[in-house]
Amino acid sequence: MVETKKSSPRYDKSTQVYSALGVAFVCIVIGVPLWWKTTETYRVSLPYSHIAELAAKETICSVDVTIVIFDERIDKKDLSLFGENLKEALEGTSGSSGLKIKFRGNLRDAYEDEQMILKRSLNLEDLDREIDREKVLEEHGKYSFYIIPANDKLFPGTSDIYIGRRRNVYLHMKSPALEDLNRLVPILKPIIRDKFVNVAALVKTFESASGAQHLETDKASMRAVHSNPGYDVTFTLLNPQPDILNVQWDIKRGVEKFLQPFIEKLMQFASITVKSQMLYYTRLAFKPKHDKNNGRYFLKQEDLPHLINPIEAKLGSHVSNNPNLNFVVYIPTRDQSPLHIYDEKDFPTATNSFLSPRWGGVLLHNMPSPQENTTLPAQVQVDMKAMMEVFLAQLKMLLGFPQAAFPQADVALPDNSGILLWELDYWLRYRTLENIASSTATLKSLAQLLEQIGNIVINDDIGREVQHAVEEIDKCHTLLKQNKLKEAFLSSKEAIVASEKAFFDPSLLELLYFPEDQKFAIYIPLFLPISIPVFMSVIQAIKYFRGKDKEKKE
Amino acid sequence: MDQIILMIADDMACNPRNPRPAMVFNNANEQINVYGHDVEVDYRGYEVTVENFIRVMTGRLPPSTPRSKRLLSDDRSNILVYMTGHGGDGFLKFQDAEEISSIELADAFEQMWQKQRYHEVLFIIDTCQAESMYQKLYSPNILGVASSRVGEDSLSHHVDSAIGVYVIDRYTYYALEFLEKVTPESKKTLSQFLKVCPKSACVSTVGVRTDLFQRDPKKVLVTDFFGSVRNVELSPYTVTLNDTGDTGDSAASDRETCSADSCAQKKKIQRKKMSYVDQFPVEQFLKRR
Repeated sequence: MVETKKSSPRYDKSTQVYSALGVAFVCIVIGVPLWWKTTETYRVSLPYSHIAELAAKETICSVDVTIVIFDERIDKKDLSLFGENLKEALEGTSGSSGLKIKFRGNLRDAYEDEQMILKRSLNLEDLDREIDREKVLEEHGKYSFYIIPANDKLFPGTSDIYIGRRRNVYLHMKSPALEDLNRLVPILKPIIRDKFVNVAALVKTFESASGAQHLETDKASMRAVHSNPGYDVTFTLLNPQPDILNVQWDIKRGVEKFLQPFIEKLMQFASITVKSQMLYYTRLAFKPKHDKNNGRYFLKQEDLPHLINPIEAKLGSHVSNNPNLNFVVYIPTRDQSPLHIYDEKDFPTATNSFLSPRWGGVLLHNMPSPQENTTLPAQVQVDMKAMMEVFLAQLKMLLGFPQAAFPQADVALPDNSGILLWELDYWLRYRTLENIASSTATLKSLAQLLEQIGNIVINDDIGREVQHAVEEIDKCHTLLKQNKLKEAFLSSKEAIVASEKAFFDPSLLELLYFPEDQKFAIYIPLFLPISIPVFMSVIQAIKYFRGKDKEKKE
Repeated sequence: MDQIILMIADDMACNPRNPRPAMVFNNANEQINVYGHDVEVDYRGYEVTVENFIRVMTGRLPPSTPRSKRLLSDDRSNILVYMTGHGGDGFLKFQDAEEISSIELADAFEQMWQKQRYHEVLFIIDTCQAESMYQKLYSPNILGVASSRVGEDSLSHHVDSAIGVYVIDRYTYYALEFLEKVTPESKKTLSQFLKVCPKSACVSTVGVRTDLFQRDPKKVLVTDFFGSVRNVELSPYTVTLNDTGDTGDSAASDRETCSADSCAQKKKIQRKKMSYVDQFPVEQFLKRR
């Protein structure tokens, strides 16, 4: 009988061993990588190093200042000395936290045309208008200072400084001597550094948007709403006694005439939506005190904080995600008329209104009580112009426009849009820096969060938004350095929208209840029963091979 | 719309066993209806999950979420977070189905801090072993108050025999009593609020965590967190506007409103009396039978 290879016990053992090894091979070489790959969370690669670079990068903001000299008698050497002095005065502490503001100066003589305009102009408003007409390009962020020699016609003696409607300042220099020139430096410095460019406020905003904490509360920085691509404005008329006074307001005309120019001026930068409503039988809950001397009812500033909350629920919620600014006109009830707000000195305030930071404003509008024998309800009209004057000022403050006062200068009145162009420049620069700082900080904390928690799935669109935000921030830095304010603002707006969208994406939630240690608890019951037999057979296989070797040796 | 986000299971007010439907009282004597007209429940029933809670806190809500369900806070907002229910060492139960752990809560607060979503937080928690929930917090400006220490149970106050359940917990009962006396002008400080439930009344020891809070509780008003008292400023400025071309501008057709004479026509049309449509003459059919 021939012992076939197939039936010998050694053959059985060897098939056993080889099949066990085969299974182990499949498990380790194919199974483990497959399991690893299929249970991995999908994470798009984000530019982490680029984000860290951006966070550490210094932001440089350039400001262009042009000084135009009309007087040809001034010595060139004196002019250059003056230029040096001015440059020195403007430099100095310009931010500690990664923001640097560079002033670029340009000193030139007046052109022929400008000299002609100077001769022709009857007063400063004319001069301002004509000189601006010469300018062809819209120059955001470039300020011009015209130094005009002794001219009594234009400067009749009240003040030597006139701040124009756009970005020009006209200074009166009585003589071409160097001392007079140098006397202008301490006048120019606060106008440029503190009013037009408000370096201190910009640094503070930049720092707080980057995440630094300020222990002291600063009224101006707390007042304005955060930067947003759009804002909602709601006008509300509260009439607690519509049976006595039928209050009408032509809000449509008021908005079209008085608010629309403002909105249009800001249209390319922020979209403002306006709504209006009237509420009846809604009272403000307070007890005003009675001033017996003149029969007035008054509220002091301490009484004001409690007025807003009870009516806030009734003002209605709105649908969009933009911040909402509420402007409320309240008609006091007949038993509390006339109602005034008294300041600390017990004088009624001029505007009879107050504002709440980041919320809106309230105006108390006194109406005359109806006469004895008029039929009730009596018709009264709200004075739209007076109302809009107050609310437009409040709206400017709430949006972050500067409240600069120029004690020694005459300031041109704005047109119906209510914005002077240098105010707009300030606002653009302020918002751009806020946007940049905020979006850099957002991206940095997003990167930190995603690196720390390995369980979060990062989708493609988040990767796209982050990439877009990073590109826009880079672009914005370059544009700020070149002082192209408008483009810098628009690009910073894109950056902040993209970074907020990426950060607040609903999919970025850690997979709850799946921490590392619990993963073991899930996989062990699946793999352990299989791996133990495989492992034991591999050990048997190794023993077999060692046994075979020993046999061969013998 | 108010700045309160309320997440409750909301199965008690309209529960068939509630003898006073749509009313939930703070004690057996039915003193205060805490489910009154101005209570707006934002998340109820199945929406109260740990995931939704974390989403509200961190702001990662889907774009279709209405404003009233979002926490719209910024870096100047003071937030009060009050949590109550069954809990244990390091967790709080949500709806008998899931738990939120103290680590998740700490991470949520840290994400809020990173995104500057709060200025200060007052965190009140009323569960068993409540202290464990604030022990893991590591973000600044949070003041934590817990109704019991680790290892202690928080107890309920009293039972309402009409319903047959305990209606309020001890810490919440005494805290509510304190807060009912606080008016918007009140000058009561947080340190008085923190002393609210001594061991004789609460049986468990109230725990407080102040190391993350930068201000001294003795100098912080209770109304900084309760009562929504706003900052106001007098606004003395106006913008001078030009009202040229006023008289001829607004044509009568533009106006939505009407004067007494022209309204008369409109009013006549609008005052047509409303009445029901002629009903189906059922009686005739019935009479035939």
